[in-house]
Amino acid sequence: MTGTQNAGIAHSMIKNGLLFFFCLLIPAFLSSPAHADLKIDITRGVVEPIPVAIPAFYGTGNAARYGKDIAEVVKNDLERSGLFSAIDPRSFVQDGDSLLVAPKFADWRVLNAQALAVGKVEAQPDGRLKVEFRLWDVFAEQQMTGLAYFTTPANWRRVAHIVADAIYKRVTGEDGYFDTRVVYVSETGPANNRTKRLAIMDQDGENNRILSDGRAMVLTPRFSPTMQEITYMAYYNNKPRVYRFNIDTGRQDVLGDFSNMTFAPRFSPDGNRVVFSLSENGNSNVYTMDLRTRRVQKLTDHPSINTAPCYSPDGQYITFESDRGGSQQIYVMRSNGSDVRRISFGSGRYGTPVWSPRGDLIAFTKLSGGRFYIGVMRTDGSGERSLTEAYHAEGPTWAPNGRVLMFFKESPSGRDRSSRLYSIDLTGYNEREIMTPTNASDPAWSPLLP
Amino acid sequence: MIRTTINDDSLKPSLMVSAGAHLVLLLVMFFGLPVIFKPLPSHRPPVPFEIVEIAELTNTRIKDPELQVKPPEPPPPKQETKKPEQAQAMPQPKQEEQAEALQTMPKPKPKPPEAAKPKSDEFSKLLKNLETNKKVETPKSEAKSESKQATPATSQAPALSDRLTISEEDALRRQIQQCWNMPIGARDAHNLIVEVIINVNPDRTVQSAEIVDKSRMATDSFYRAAAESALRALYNPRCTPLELPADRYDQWKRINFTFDPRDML
Repeated sequence: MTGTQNAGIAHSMIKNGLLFFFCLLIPAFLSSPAHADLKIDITRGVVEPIPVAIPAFYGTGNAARYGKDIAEVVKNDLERSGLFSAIDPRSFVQDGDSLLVAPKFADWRVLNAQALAVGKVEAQPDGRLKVEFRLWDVFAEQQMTGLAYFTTPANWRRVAHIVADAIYKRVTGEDGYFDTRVVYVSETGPANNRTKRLAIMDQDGENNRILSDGRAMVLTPRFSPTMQEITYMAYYNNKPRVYRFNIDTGRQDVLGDFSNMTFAPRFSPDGNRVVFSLSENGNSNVYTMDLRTRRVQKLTDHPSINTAPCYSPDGQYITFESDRGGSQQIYVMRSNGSDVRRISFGSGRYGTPVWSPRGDLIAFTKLSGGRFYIGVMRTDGSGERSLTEAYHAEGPTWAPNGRVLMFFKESPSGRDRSSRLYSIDLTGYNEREIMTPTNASDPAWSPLLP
Repeated sequence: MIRTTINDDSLKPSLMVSAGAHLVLLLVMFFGLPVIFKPLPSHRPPVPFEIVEIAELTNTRIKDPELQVKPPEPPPPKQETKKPEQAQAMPQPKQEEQAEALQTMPKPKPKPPEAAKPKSDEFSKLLKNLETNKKVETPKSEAKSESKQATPATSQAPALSDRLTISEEDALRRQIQQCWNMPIGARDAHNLIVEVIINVNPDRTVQSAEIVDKSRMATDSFYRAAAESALRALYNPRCTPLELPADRYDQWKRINFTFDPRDML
């Protein structure tokens, strides 16, 4: 091979290389004329409920009544979340089965509806109901989601909650929480001799049911995150003990046989363990019990009050309250009891920390300057915010999506002292009372129903 | 009388010590005690600034005060009950002044674009905290974010008259901000930054809007919700047509929007 040949090959290789390189560049130029685009950063916006239109679900005969009721429950669920506002049905220009064929988006746009839920209820030959719905994006004129369910007519309320959950999830990106229940302590009788019974209801206050007979005083019920089970503390024969109760079977059993008082129970995220406090000579420490083997393990060992333990959703950590530092504060430790560190440093006393199911926040009760606050902080103690305050407010519990908190407020003690349940959005807005037939305290939110 | 004889030699070292001590004393009096334990003064963060154009005749400012006095970004209804009164009290009088000042002055100064901002400051942090008062954003950070937003305009720098002025961009920005219902309570809301490229019709309506990060849109339901909230803002009838100068279609036929809730968290 001659030198010139070599040079020629090298030359053509370079040429090919360059050509290849430019070929690579061409699409880059073609696809990004964006460099000349006008660029606008939007870093502020408004926070207002999303206007949504929910016409009565279409149906004939008996199904029409269910259609109307279901749409009403869906509407109430979404409105109560504070993230949606329902448009007045009297302004609707299109309804009935024409909606099922094709919504006239221009008409709905005029009403400023951003989302439109259209549904249909059909009675099936076997007596069940078929409920189907579609959610439309009015501006984009596209279907966002569509689902169908079969259910017994008695179950129509649950189907409505499931539909509301689907809409909520599709629009906000978060799981819903409408198809859930809440256990609480129902309080009746005079203020100095209250009867405290375990009660359960849907999260919207419907379907109230009393679970215990009132012979024993029941306190601090907590839902299992995995099944329809509750753990709570009750005084039977004046012995305060931690119990477990199955809602479906009504079976109840005492957890552990301790000579001292056990209290402040809570399930682990997998539902297989219960973490609680055991009092010892005026102090208390945190213990955990495996519900299958009944093996008990002591997690804290400190001559102080350590109580109100709560697992993180991954089960790796436990947060609890302790006065080991002189005042009552919130601590976090590994779930084996090691690596204890204090996370609350504000003025006042902090108690009943509850880890959010989302994992990002810890809710707490705080007593400061003679007032009670319900607040949240990040799990390292930063970003503390008080969401609500009252003469007496306590017992925060998270909705399963970690977006909403429920708690109870008590009026100053007296003859007609009242105790009511409230829910509030994580942002600190949209506080609402949950209507209960009796006075109520200590709510505990269930996971989404299976 | 007792006389002490002083030996010259024995005096010498003490004289030197005395002189030295006096010198030290003088130095201390002059310069002050040396500071050993005090930390060094921290560096002031540099204040970035950009040179931006304001249209010779910009109508956005003059109109603003009137606009703002009337509907001052209606806060969510529940907010009203809980927010401290300063929300209404603070910025009003200032704006009136500003308005008058502007009307008498033919040439607006580069200041005005910021004048409207304090209005929205009290809404800037939307997560409620009852106990501690929210920090009002300092003017410095305000200036910073302003300049940040303006950066794209200056980066490519075509001829001056060819591009939208900062006032025109600001008008569009404010219009869309009023239509953007942001996802503030969502998990990791600060990560939900959505880029949308829109094509605009000559009549200033949105022809098409496209989310840039389509793969994340398909996998992350939070991101999808945030992205759709951005699209709803752009398609919102309240924000149609877009506030753009009708004569310079070439400048805005394609717009790249970034929706970032950072100022509201």
